[in-house]
Amino acid sequence: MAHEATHDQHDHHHAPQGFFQRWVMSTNHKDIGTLYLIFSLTMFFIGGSFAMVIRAELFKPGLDLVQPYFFNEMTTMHALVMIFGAIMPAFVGLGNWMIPLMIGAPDMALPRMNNLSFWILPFAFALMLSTLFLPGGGPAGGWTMYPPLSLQSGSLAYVVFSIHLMGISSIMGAINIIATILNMRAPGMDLLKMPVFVWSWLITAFLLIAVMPVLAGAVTMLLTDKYFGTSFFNPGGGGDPVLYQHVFWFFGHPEVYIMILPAFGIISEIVPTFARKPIFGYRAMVYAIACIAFLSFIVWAHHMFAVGLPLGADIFFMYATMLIAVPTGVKVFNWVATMWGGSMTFETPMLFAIAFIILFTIGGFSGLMLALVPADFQYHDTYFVVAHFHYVLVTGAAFAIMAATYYWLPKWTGHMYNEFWGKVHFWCSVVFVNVLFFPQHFLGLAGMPRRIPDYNVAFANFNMISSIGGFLFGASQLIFLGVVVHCAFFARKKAADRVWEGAKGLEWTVPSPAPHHTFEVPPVVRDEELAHGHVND
Amino acid sequence: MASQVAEGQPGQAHRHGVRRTVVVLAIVVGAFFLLPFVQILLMK
Amino acid sequence: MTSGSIRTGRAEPGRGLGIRHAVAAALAPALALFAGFAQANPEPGQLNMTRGVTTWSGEPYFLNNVALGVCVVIGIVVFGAMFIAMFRFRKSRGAVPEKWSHNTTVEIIWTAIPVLILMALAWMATGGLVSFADTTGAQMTIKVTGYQWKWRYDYVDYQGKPVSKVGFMSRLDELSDKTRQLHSGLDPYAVTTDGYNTYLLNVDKPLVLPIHTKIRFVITSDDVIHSWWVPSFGWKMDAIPGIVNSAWTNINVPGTYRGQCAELCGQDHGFMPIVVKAVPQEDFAKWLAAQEQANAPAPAATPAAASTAAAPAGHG
Ligand code: HEM
Ligand SMILES: [Cu+2]
Ligand SMILES: [Cu+2]
Repeated sequence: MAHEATHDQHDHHHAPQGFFQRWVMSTNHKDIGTLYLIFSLTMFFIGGSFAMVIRAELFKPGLDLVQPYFFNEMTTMHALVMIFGAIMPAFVGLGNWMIPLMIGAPDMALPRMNNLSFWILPFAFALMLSTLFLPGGGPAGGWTMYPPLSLQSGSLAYVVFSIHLMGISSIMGAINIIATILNMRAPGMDLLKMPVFVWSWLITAFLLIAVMPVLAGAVTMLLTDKYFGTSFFNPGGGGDPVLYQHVFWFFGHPEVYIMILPAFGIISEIVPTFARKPIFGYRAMVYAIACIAFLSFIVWAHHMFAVGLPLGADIFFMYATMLIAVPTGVKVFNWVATMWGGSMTFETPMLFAIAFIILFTIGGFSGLMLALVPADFQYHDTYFVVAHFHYVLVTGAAFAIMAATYYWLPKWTGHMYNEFWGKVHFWCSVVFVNVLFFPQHFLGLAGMPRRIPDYNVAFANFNMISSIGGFLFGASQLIFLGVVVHCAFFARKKAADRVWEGAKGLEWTVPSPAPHHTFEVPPVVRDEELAHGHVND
Repeated sequence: MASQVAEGQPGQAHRHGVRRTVVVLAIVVGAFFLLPFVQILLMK
Repeated sequence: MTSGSIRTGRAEPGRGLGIRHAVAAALAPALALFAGFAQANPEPGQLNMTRGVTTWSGEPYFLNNVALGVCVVIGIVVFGAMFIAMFRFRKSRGAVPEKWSHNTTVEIIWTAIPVLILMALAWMATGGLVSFADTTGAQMTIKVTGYQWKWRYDYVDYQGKPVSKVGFMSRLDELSDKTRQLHSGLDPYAVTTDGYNTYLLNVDKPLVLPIHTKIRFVITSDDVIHSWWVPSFGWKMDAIPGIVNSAWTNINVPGTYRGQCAELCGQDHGFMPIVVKAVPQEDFAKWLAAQEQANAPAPAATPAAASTAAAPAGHG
């Protein structure tokens, strides 16, 4: 194998090694990106199956299917799998695939570390999911793992260890991305000519580097509190359970932005392509991302308004949280302004991008409502919050990932996906996701707490609607699987190099499918090839 | 292995920049890991 | 337009009432869909937050409605612009893409306008927050303690006098508890009290409180974190071991108000409801005296005796 690396073979999609060599030993950013994306899709379905259990139990009042403890395991695992297993690895996979292509680099800066970052993940998740089959069961204290409750779980050590592994993986991935973007850009690819997606990942990587270690510290303290007699969070020994929440949300709020900033980047690529018009306010878009990232460090206690914070703290965190709405608004307005005066077509990636803009904004609206502390005294820990974060995470992050998949799939596989079935997938998803989550606003406002397995009959009608939406949304994702598998293995229609008429950027200058090695010689970057090459604002 | 990594690798100059970036970032990671412990100890 | 079925007859305290009401009136059409549904307890099909029944509970309700109205208006403008763009600037209609990609004036405008709107919202919210934080001048103190999975209520003082030995556990009522077991075969719809379905929202012994009295709650926990929440009071407050939180309420209307634990506290988190029975002050004084008497001779009150005594106004 070592000798083959002289690669005088012609550029082709196939890699010359055997299966094990190619995938397990891979140091190629494209193959590792593919691995990340496959892993993410697998986790999406595993986490989705947990959600189906939750929605089935909540279909009507009365416990019909599972014991309450198992229900809590499902909510906890669903969140952990979706956040750390589905959304984050999907963005890392997209970054791996596209960042080198977009900045004209031959590969990631640290290819071997790249391999390690990925291969840690399956083990971390195998460890975490295995707890479901162990006596005593899996974690059931919520993904936030608040002590003292989380300390009652027998599987804490497993979860802490797997979170450490996921954290190490994310940190290595983030270091790799920063090192790549800062050091490996082709000559002429100035920072302020980079695609917005690359910018969003650069900033996200800094967030990861700052907060994943904090999470590691927090869960380590849980571990020592349970097994080594410390009292960080144990009031009996002079500790303070609220301190955990402060540390956790110092991680947690930037974490939610880790899951949305790359999505902002994706949407900022797709909308100009299908509007055939440069993005409106490129610099403002980049500054808005940076501004949101900065603010995300000083709003954490908005998750803790009910713990009895001092008045001054309530006020500070309320104002800081509301401030985030300003740069977020700027982004939304700029996307709309990009569409204004364009020449639009509505292929599947664009449909998902448009749905993202509308539905993410609805999630932002409920976020703004949640930021108003007296109102949050009512909303907090109800289904209103559940509706909020699913609008930003499912119709936000997940829709952006799907949009990106449709957008770049032809570049990855060399074939066009089936547009008809892509559109079917889109329309099913966008309708059912609203049937699923919109009624949850009403449930929360009417007083239904989150994380409960059973409820009063007053909540029955909207829960049933929500569950029906849930099952149909879940089923719709099988269409997605079908379209992707079809495109990868069975599609006949060849994709052009520049797959979309309005697409700009270096990734469209390489052949489709992107050959195993690209930009071994740095490309000559011509401004008119870039989406933002000439833009002076 | 070594030459396999070399495939698609940047030149020496890039490598130097990469090394410096990684060292700085690793220090940041360490500092942020210690942050919650320091905070808790200070609050006691 | 707002109060729905609950009439409290009292405006909320706080600042800027004039502006608030003007804003609320202006938003009335946007809210009309939601406004008719303010209730004390959850109602099937309820669409909006309850107005609540206390002197303060109008604050979250008001903020909720204003913020919702603001969001609806912004949404109409932004999504409206989007749909116009999607209609007008389509390639299939022969649209030719423009070249411009920025415009400083509009960028300044759409940064500044949200800032102004947010400042107005923040100002209103701050008023509600300040009045909530003021727990001084309470005429009564109740200690609430969370346990896995029940609540304990202790009457600490009333009208300046300490209350002796009135305290009890309050847990899910028996019928709900039987019905909620996995495969119980019992029908949740059959669990009713006074014509209302009280499945999972009923307890063996409610917390009895006087109306028109500023009541201070001190809230803590004996094991894990819980959260004490009665939507009709307008707030929830976490019950945290090792920490004593405080909050207050002043109920305007007699009635039975139901809530639930709002912080995940283990397997039976969904099964530790809260029921408050608010009664006129005279009735409350009588009830309290009877409790004190019943509990005085025997240090450990027998649960059976206590539970009958706890129902002054025709409960159960
Ligand atoms: C305009 C921007 C946003 C604002 C003002 C906002 C505000 C809030 C607030 C105040 C809460 C706490 C609610 C409570 O528990 O009482 C919350 C919860 C949450 N938000 Fe947002 N949010 C925004 C955007 C986002 C985004 C972009 C994401 C992720 C993509 C997100 C994900 C979440 C999640 C996951 C939770 C719940 C965490 C939990 O308790 O498990 N939010 N948000
Ligand atoms: Cu947050
Ligand atoms: Cu609870």
